[in-house]
Amino acid sequence: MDRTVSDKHLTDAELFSLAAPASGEPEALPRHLSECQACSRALQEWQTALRQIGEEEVEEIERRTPQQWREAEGATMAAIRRSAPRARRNPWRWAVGIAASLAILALAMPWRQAPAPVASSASTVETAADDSGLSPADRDDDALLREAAYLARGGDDSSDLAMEESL
Amino acid sequence: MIARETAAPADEARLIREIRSGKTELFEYFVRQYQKKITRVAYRFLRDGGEADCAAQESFLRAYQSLDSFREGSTFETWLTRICINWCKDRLKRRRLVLYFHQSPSRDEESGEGPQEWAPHPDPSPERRAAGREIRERLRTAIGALSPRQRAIFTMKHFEEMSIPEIAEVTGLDSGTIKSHLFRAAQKIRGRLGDFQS
Repeated sequence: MDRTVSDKHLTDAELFSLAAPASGEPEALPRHLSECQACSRALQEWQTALRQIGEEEVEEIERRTPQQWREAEGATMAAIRRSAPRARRNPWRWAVGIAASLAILALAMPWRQAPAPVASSASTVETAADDSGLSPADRDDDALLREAAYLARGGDDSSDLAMEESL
Repeated sequence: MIARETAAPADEARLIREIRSGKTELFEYFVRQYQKKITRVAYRFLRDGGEADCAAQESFLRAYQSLDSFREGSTFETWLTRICINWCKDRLKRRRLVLYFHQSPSRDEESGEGPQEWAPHPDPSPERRAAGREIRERLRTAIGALSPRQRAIFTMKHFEEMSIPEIAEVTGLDSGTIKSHLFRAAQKIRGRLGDFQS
């Protein structure tokens, strides 16, 4: 071996600096590496060691199969879809909700015809007596409940049945 | 080195605009592109597979929900990585851990059998394998002596192959500070290796 070359063998610190430059950018290799096979091989070992340490840290992740990754991706997309705005997910649910709200309001409306007044006439006095302490929302609920009771007693109003089905 | 997944920025910008307009399913592209990378980054911080999966899913969720705030001058990958690292840091704080990394579990189980099988060394002689094991052990010890921030930046640069501007964007530090941390980390490791020098 050339005595001059062996005198300039790279230290471990120098080999590490070449394998992982402090500046973060690749550095020019010293001329000695082109002359010394031992140091050239040593640099490869340091570069390999550095890479292996990086891979060891995440070995559990790198070992996963393609199927496991597909499942993970599927779970992520499922979470994304659940978080998507309701309007984007299913616009028809929005429309059904509005229709249901309108139907309930219609049921609660005092201008309803024929059977409703007959069925509720017996409870009108009762309602008048009870209304004094009730909020508007409570009064609406009461009207709805009276309608439900009327229907349970056999009231036959086809429009009411259609509203129930839409709900 | 670990391969990085990249995608054409122009295509991603178009996809992001369409997702913003309501095409949620197009987000699957980003999930397929970056799920593995983000999980790996999270694992480096959290050192637990289940938590890394959780971190990755939460990161994608946050990215989707805050897509309107994504600046088209940046890359989606870098932005997503930043979200992930911030989530991991919050998680570690909640777990009251100061260190970003635990000791590598393989260190206690070091038998010299696993890593040497990966070595693409042309000369698989026992002496070369022993030399490789010794170098890895010394490097692990030296890297383990870094401060959490130095180690995090060192890892992002040399293990995740991120550029300095990307690391700056992900960490919220400027490029000069990143370079400074890298320089000090390298100095510290060199110093440790010098201590080992026979």
